[in-house]
Amino acid sequence: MKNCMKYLLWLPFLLLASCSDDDTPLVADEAERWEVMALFPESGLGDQGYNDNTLRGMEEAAKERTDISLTYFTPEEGEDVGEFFRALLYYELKENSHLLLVLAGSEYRDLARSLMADTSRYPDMDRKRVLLFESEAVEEPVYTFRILFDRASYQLGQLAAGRAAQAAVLLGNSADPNIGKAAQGFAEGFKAAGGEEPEIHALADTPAGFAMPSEAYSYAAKWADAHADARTFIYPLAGGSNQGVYRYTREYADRLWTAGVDVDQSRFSKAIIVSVVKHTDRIIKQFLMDWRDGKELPKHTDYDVESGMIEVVESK
Amino acid sequence: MLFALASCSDDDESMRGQTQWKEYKIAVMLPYADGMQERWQRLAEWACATLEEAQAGKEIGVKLSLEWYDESTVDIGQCAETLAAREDIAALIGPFYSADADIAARQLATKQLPLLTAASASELVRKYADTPKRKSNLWALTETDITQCEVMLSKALMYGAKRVSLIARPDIYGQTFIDWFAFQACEMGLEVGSVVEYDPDWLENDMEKLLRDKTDMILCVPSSPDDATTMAQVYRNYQDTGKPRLLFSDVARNAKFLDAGNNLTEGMEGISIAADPESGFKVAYEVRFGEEPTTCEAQMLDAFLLTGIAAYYKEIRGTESLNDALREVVAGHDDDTSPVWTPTALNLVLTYLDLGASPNVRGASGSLDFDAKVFTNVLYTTYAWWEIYEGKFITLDYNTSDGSKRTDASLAGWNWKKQQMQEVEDEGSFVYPERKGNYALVVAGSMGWANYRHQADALCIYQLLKDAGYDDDHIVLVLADDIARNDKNPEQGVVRVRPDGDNVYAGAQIDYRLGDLEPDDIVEILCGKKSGRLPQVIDATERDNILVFWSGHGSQGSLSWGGYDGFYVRHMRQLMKQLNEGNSRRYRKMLWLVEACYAGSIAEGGDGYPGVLYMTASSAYENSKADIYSPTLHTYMSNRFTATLEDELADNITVSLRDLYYKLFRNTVGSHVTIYNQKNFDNLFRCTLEEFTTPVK
Repeated sequence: MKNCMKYLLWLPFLLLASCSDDDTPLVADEAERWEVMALFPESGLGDQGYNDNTLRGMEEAAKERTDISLTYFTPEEGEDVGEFFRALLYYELKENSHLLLVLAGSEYRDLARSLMADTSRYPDMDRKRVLLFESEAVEEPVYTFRILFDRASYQLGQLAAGRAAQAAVLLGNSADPNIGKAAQGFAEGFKAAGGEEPEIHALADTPAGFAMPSEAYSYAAKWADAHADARTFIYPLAGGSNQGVYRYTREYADRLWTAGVDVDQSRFSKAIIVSVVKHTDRIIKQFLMDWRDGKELPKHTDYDVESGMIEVVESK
Repeated sequence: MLFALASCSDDDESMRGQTQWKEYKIAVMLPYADGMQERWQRLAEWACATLEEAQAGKEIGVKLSLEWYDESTVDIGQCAETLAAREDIAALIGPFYSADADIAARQLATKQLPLLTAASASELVRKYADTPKRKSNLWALTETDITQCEVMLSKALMYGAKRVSLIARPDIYGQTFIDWFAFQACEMGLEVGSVVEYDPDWLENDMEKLLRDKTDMILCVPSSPDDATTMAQVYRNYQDTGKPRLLFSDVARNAKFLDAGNNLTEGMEGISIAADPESGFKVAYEVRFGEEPTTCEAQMLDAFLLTGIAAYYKEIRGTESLNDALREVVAGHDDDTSPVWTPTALNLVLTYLDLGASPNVRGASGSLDFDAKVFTNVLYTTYAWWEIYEGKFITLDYNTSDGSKRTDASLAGWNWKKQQMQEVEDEGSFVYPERKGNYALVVAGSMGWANYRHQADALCIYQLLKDAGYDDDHIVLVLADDIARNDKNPEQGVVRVRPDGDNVYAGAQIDYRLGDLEPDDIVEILCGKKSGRLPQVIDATERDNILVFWSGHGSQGSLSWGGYDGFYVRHMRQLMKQLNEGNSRRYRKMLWLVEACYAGSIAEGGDGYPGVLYMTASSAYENSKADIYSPTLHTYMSNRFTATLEDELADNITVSLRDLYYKLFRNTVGSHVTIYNQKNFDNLFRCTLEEFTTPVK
């Protein structure tokens, strides 16, 4: 959706048109509808990781509950999508329709809070819901969940220290607090198991760092060259950029160990000895199905390793 | 989304209506081999279900009724001819392969019946692009392979390659890469090692030879998975630690290549056409079918949906034909939409159309935005960079041709991108005797109907020289003369360089038929060696300028002579030596204008000789390009470089050679017009074309 604002401009027109004298039917309204409008992070979909996994969960929910209808967007760089989602909340729903706005990234936290700061102006709020990914609980009527990455990363750090004495953590976006916590967790686990203090390197301080595989490759090469006397470990927390690290380890098979992140990525390299798997597919699928089935939804959930929604999976 | 939003009516029941369904019969011709039949059919079912659901509640709805043909076994030409003759067929989806799409598109063009395909050979775009007199009926859902070549070269750059080579088969698929590889490599600052056109029977030898050449990366463009396997086999067996990296084109992303055995293809990598990753299609497909989509499935889903949208548009707007409706639908730029493979997003697009808007339609493959000038292929394609690792294809990342998205089709896109122009200095003092007269040698070096354009261009240049004041005693015209009265010529005795052009054959005095001469005779003619066999020669002196125009085929170091022999670099050396022997040379200035593939390579023979300049349609490593395809004649009528030259000769004869070079360079798409021997010739800012085309008064 390149031009959310332009898209938005059409909405009133569409509604007005349906009220015209000409009773041309624009919509089907026999059955109850469960509309999901999901906003993914910039450069998110296609990452073969977290975001694709989230989408997979949504699709699976829609497959099992066929009256769930999905529409999703990824904004382009610098695009402001807030007004579009605000407009959706302003519209009156049909009696048999339900709307769930999914903000599928922690970067939408401020947007979610601002959208929901005053819900009295929106109609039909009993049938409208907003879900925000990877956030602590907020005061506003927004459903939130968070996958606690630090403890899993701590475990991973311990495992990594069993293979290497030195390690680096590669961040895609240094401004992302969840990633920062994961890096910290890894460092603590790594040191606790006898490893040296890891080097922390960030590709960027914006989400753009999640789509910089060439830079990630270069970093892996530079790091490996600087530690050529022993096989070391890189923990890549850089989304799509992780592919650069994996490529390096495929090409130079015995220089680095590394880890998969978000999904089991062992297929990308034999050097991936372990993956931190976040089951966002299960989380969102369950949430959508519960929403569809009218079950009570938890206002906020923290998923730690005990929940089974995040786990450290050793490569086979 | 519309489902969720309330209508303003007090009575929702009143908004419901019985949809009146209109059926469109669509022929589908796709290859069933290798388990693809099931894939295509389930994809079509998905598209049809989406289309139907998206139209629920609308007053008018369209349904696609599909009639299937196996591209692997059907006689493409006969089948397409039958389909074109049938009144009930609204469009053809497929064929999948470029060669088959070419055959089918030709049959369907007569009826303006739309053909939607994922085939991507550049030849298709050039043949079926819109012209002022003819609307395109070909709708390619991928950019041409010009873009794939560009993406492959960008990967070479990413790997730090400095010198690259290409191996491809000169068929309709491989030819695109052969045509564009050297040009694009030059634009990207890469040195071209070799361009090998392989014959499947000699592929092993060709590949070994290429591996011996020291390049950093070889772009492998196999025309079949078997050829890809052979390339990999030779590579594996080749013992050299410094051997180049291989990068395969999309044909190699095939189960056959993967399963070649003995880990033969392990570690091989390449490029293939993919869905737009941001569309979410791949994930949705996997959830739905439990396996990954294969190459071009996203594009074929879009073909079905786009056909449905166009059919809907035709119904609500009363467009004359489905082809016209397609043009309207893909030209929409009012608003971007979500990918239309979900019912909600498709419903929104259809509603936009209901309201008279023109949304920018996006599909599973990305934006379905077509070049507004040629309406032949989309402007956006995503390529997956893959590698075989542990016996599986893994996708490493996704690439598009450029981050800014194109606004022109690939062919045109490369026009403005071209920038490696030579520097022409406004300096140099050259002393020449006063000009007395002019001579011209005009040669069409090919024969046969398929090469119509070479003779047509030679005749056109001949006519323009006559218009400028030449008489036949000063022009030697050499051509096969087998097109004007050719059986395939619907206008007997007529030859044109453009559909609305004059008959350039009228009044032409042909001095020699190609078959009556040998390449050695060209040397004799230019050296003025008259004989009983060669009565018409160039009898020039040191005060006469000579213009040589040559149009035909070429290879490295040779201009083809009717397909059997060649005018080689040694001929050029011999010629220049003889012209410069003795106390006075046999020309004042000599200008060679050469339209042929690898034309630059022939100029080497004249390097260093005074007073001679070569302006060639292509460099020593490039193919030149044909221009203006005639669906009536089923052949090209002209060539890119020469078409611009003809314009200058007709309207701007006083142009300086520097400005002529500039115009030719800018207007010749797909090759670099190159000048040779400039430093031994003259100041190009001061020397004009007129010196060679207009006799002294």
